[in-house]
Amino acid sequence: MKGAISVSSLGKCFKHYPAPHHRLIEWFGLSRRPQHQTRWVLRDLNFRIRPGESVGIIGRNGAGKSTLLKVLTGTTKANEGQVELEGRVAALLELGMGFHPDFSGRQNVFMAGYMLGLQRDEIIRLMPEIEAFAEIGEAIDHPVRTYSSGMQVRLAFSVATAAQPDILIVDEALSVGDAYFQHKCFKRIRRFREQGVTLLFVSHDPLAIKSLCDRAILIEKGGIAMDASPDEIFDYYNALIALDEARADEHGEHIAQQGGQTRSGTGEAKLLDGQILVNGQPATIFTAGTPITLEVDFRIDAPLEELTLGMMIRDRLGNDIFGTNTFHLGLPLPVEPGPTRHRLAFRLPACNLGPGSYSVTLALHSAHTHIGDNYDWWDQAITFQVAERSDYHFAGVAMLEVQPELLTTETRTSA
Amino acid sequence: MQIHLHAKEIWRHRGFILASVLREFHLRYRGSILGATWLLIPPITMILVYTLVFSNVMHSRLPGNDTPFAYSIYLCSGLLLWNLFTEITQRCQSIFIDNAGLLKKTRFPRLALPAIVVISGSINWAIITALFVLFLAASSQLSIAGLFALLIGWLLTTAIAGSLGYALSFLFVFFRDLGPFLGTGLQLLFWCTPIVYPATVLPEWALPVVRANPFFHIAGFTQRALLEMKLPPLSELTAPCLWIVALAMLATLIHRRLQFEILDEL
Repeated sequence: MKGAISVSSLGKCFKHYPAPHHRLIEWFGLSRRPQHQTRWVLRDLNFRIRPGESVGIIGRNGAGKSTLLKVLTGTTKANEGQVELEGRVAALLELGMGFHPDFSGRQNVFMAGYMLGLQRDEIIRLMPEIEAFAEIGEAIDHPVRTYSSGMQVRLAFSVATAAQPDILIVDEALSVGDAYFQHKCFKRIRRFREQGVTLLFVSHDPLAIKSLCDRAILIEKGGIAMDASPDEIFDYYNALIALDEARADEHGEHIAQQGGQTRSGTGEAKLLDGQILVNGQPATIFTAGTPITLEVDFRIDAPLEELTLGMMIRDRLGNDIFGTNTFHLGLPLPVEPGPTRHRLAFRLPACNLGPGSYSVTLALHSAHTHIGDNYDWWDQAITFQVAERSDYHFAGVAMLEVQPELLTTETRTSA
Repeated sequence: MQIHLHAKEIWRHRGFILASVLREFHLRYRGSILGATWLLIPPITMILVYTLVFSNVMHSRLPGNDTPFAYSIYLCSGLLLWNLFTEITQRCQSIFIDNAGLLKKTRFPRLALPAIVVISGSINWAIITALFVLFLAASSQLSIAGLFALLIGWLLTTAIAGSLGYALSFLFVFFRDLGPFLGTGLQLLFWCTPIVYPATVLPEWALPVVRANPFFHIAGFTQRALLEMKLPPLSELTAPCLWIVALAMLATLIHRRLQFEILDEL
């Protein structure tokens, strides 16, 4: 049946040869010992997707998602097992592949169409639709080198989705330009889904999967760790990430330290750790309105006159969303130095933030603002994501309570 | 079963193949004033130079043939086929490396890539050969047998170059030594083929060595047909035909064995 995907006992390995001549030795059977090391990236994967289903493939970096994607789209071959995709497959992995800068947008559309296996007359038929969706106007007849990267992506997306496929494979890493166009792309993907196109959406972001899919498959260490509803996967994934962070701590390298955040300060007091707890368990993803506790561990290394601990929640663009500190909250902190690991908990009865990803900046300073002595300043100490609620829909970063009421007034007719 | 599936896939991608060939020609002369005229200038120069330098200045004569253009015809016909051979072999060899990005990101029949090379190489050859045919007509050396031999020469050369290049293209992904190796090998092969010199100058002991070279027969066949204006016995083409069968089988074997392995290496 068109649109069905079936994967059975799929395995993919990569052979690693120390040097090119080891391959020759092996090919000609000059040595009894195998000359390569085999690294299994995927092993024993089984799943079936019915036509019209929309399924999210989720997993951390290096779990094997991309390899699975390559096997499914046929750009690499499995070493074991069977993969069957029925019907026409469109894959949105790398947009603008094969675009040549010196040819016009229109010429490149033809080339891209040919690569998809379309014929000339089909492309001519689809052209008005492609032009309309890309919204690049007259630029369609200008060389692609004069395009902004956004325009290129628009055109590429339009071509790739011009003909309705039976199976659509979307890589979340796909960036489709500005927010307006991104919205338009997702609208088109949703429309495909409504029309019964099988959707396979690959991501490491559970939120995106939740909004688009009705089933999710969690890939972990080259196998399927879980195959369930996105909500169930959600909690499991959280636990996995928490485990990860705990492990990173043992090695003395906090996970957040790998990011591009800054750490500064004079060092009289030191921030040791920061995490968000939901129901007493560490969490990086939770739904809007969940009660959370922000825990911060710190130590005092030198005698201080006063100590304030501040936190600031920022959205992914770096805008301040909410910030406060122990001075404003009226909680005096100890000032005596010592090996004691102090733990401060900010309890939020409801984290009323809108869906999206956020970061928390933590700071230890002297006065009620950080303008005084800055002992330790830790940008993006914690990152977390807020998921959409299924029972309350709203837009923006703040979850406000609203009571709607219809107050009809009598229409006054002029007499 | 395999072969007809490949053919079907190639047919489905015929638009891609033809557009790629056109794009290649377009790119080659883009931004030049004379444009496609550049396709004609080098071959005209080649024919003129060889005719003038070898026939008139150096008075090179082919043994047993006293017409002034005989050597030029001998040399040009050999070189035309040789250039076709090297162009296709060398470009085929690096098709996977050159198109790594495409192969890794999209799915399309691998055979489309050598097809593009063979078609664009053949178009190049046809343009130059058309000029050469004009030259033959002008020196009243044109014959049906000669034209037929040119066609046979083209067919056998593309077949050999295509299958050799395609077989090498897979190996080249794993062993980059093949690049300089092929360059050197082709140079050796060139001087082992009577193209610049006539076969008659070769010493007795060298003949069996040179005879093993398939190109010796292909070039010889075409050269003789053009000069003698009648077809040499077709049996002379047995050796190159066997070579083609062997190379095509080798290419198929390598394709089957390595077609997916190269993807992990690119």
